[in-house]
Formats: sequence, C-alpha cells, structure tokens
Amino acid sequence: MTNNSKAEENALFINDLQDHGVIFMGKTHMTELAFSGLGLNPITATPKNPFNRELVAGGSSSGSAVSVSKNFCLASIGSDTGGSVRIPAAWNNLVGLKTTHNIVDLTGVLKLCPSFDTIGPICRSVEDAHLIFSAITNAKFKKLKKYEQKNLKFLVIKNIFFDDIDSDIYQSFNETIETLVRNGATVEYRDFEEIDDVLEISKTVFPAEAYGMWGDKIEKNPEKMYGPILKRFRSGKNILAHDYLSSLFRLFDLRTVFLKKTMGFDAILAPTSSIKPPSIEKLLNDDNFFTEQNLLALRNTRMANSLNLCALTLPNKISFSGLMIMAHPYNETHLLNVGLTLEKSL
Amino acid sequence: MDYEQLKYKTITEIGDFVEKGDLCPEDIIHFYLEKISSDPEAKHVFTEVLEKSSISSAKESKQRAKAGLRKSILDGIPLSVKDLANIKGYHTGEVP
Repeated sequence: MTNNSKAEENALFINDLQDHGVIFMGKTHMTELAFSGLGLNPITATPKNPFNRELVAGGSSSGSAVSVSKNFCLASIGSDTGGSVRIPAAWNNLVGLKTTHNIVDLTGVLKLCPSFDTIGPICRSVEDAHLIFSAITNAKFKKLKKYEQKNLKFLVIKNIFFDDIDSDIYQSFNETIETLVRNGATVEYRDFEEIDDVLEISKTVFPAEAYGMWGDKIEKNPEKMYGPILKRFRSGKNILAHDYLSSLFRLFDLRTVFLKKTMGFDAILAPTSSIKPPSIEKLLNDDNFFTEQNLLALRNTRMANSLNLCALTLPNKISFSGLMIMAHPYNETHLLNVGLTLEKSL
Repeated sequence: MDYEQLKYKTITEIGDFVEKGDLCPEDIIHFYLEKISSDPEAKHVFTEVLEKSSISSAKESKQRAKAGLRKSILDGIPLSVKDLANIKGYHTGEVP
C-alpha cells in the first residue's frame, strides 16, 4: 500500500488534461487505498463535511469533493470502484460522474479492484462533467443537448435501492419523480430479482480483488491500517479462487440479462446514497456502526460498478440527497444529456 | 473581480472570460493558492499543494491566452486530483 518512491511519470489522464491546459494544483486525501464510502481516515486526515462539520464528507474521494465544495479549485478527479466519486459528490451537493469501466485509460492510477476501477470528475454542473469527460476520453468536444422531458422514459428499481432509506432522502427522491411525471416523463417501477444476486455477488468479488491487489503489502504492517478498513480488506482473504471466479462469471451473465431487460429506457433512477453522512465521532467510537454505515452508503452506487453502467449523481432538493441517473455502458453522452435535461428541475 | 463568485460559474463561462481577457489564469491560481494557505481546513483536504508548478503553468496559460493560442476551454482551469493518480515527482497513495 505504501509507495515510498516518487512517481516517474504522470498518470495518462493527467497528461490528457494537461494537454488541454488544465492546471493541477493539489492532490487530495482519501480513505486508505480508496476502500470505503464514508471518507473517514483517522490515519492521515478526515476532511470535514463543509455543510456540517460534525459529519463525514463521503468517500473515498473525500478530499476531492471537499476541495470543490469549499471552492479551493473548480473541479476534481476522483476514482469510483463502488461509489467513491458519487457518494462524496452527493454528500457535498455536487455533480459526480462514474464512467464506464475501461473507457478511460487507467495507466498510472493506483488499482483497488481492477475489474471495477474507474475515474471521473466531481464538479458543480453537468456541463463541467462533460467537458472533463471529453478531455479524459480524448473525445472531440461536442456540446450537450437538452431533451424534452416528456420524451424520456425512466426505470425505478423497487427492490434493494430503497431498503433502510433515510426519510428525507426518500422524500427528496419521490418529489423529483413527481416533478418528472408532471413534466410528462414516463417513470416505470419494477422489481428486478437479478439485483438481489448482484448485491450478494459484490460481497465476494470486491473484497477478493482488493485483497488480491493489496493483501501482501497490508499484512507486512497491518497495525498501521485503520481497523475497520483492514477488516474489510481481510474479508477477501479466505475467498477461494473458484468461488471468486464463479461469482464473477455469474455477474457477467447478470450484466447481459440486465442490459436486455432495461433496453428502451433512457436511464435508471435511484437515490445515490440511501443514507445521509454519519457523524465523525460516532464512526470513530463504534466500529460496528462504521461497517454498517459503510455498506449502506455503498449499496446503491456499487450496483453501477457491478453492472458496469455509467452513472451520474446530481444534487437534489434536500441536502445530501443525490439523484443517481444510470445508463448503459459507453453511453455517457446520452447520460449527460439526460442529466442536463433534469439538472434545472431539481 | 470577486473570485469567490467563480463557484457560481461553469468552467465554460470562466474559460470564455479567460478567452476574452476578462480573467487571467495567473490571478485565478493566486486566488486559490492564497485561499488554501489561509484555511486551516485545507491540510485535511490536500496531501500536497502543487504551488510552484501551478504558478508556472498559469503563467504559460496566460501567455497562450494573450497570444490567442489557448489549448481548449479548460486552459488555465485549476483542478485537484485524488491521491491515487501519479503525478511526476510526487508520492502516490497514503502511507499508513
């Protein structure tokens, strides 16, 4: 986990952005090895939530989100393996884009779960996200276009996404759906039993990959890592190779089924996180609370990583209640167009 | 110019100001560096502030803007990056 030597080259996406004239003015704190959605890091630093300093800022791209919400810079690049761009974006009332896995070359970026790692912008508007996305994918910049809301068809998945949800976040989401329907959009509610399987599989494949990447290095000095993060890494220690592989292959099948069943929808909508940012003090004093909150924070966002969807979070009416918009892989332009269409209605 | 107001502008709008000469990339960077250095909270946000390279990049960006040779709308726009991406000459990742 420790990288004691200085980098000899920039990550490729850093070069791409610098080729566009971007100035990188700082590197930002994160959860150790990016392996938690809360943004608590008692080992190095925990950026406080600028909207309520007693709360975490969300993670793992905690410093990235706070650098934007405190207006220390105009946007940031975070990474998202299970929600690490979208959770801190939502908990800082910002826009965050989780890109399709592999659409951005990740050479020079620390790996966590190599089958799921992505990077993406945390910023203040859909337009800003699009600008940065175009630059990191070396795409020719084309202006986004707004759709007519009445022509859009959305899917809301009823199972899993709303379990144990905070009442304000639930209200915020429902009000947004009501607005969209009033504006003429079609919103369909469905149960997707595959989602239950996807959630179950994620408990195997993510820790297995993370421990596979970092186990050896972590075990050299395990006492130096924050307990709950160490525990999460170690949950991948005893997963057998054939269990990991059969889970991964099952996930690939589920991706195909999911894409087929969601064909015809412009996007899938969900609350970005079902909970609000928890208290820093409470997390520090209770490891069980940390584990429970961490899994809840990541549950909704991680679906997009498991299914390899691209996903955008937009700030919604009530503070910390992001609206997550998910679309099929490599469909970022469409996703961003949808985001632009909804942005001002929220 | 009240630079704090930049947070209400999109990057495209700020880029347009730079293009027209109404905003200078060097002034933008100095505003942010000053803000970061005077806020005690910043050390919990940044693992490193790339002060020197930011200032020299901003100078170059300013020259390009003056010469009408901006690289893109993003030219001169200050961004931060999560500490898991390599930047030449700096450590990557947090060492417990």
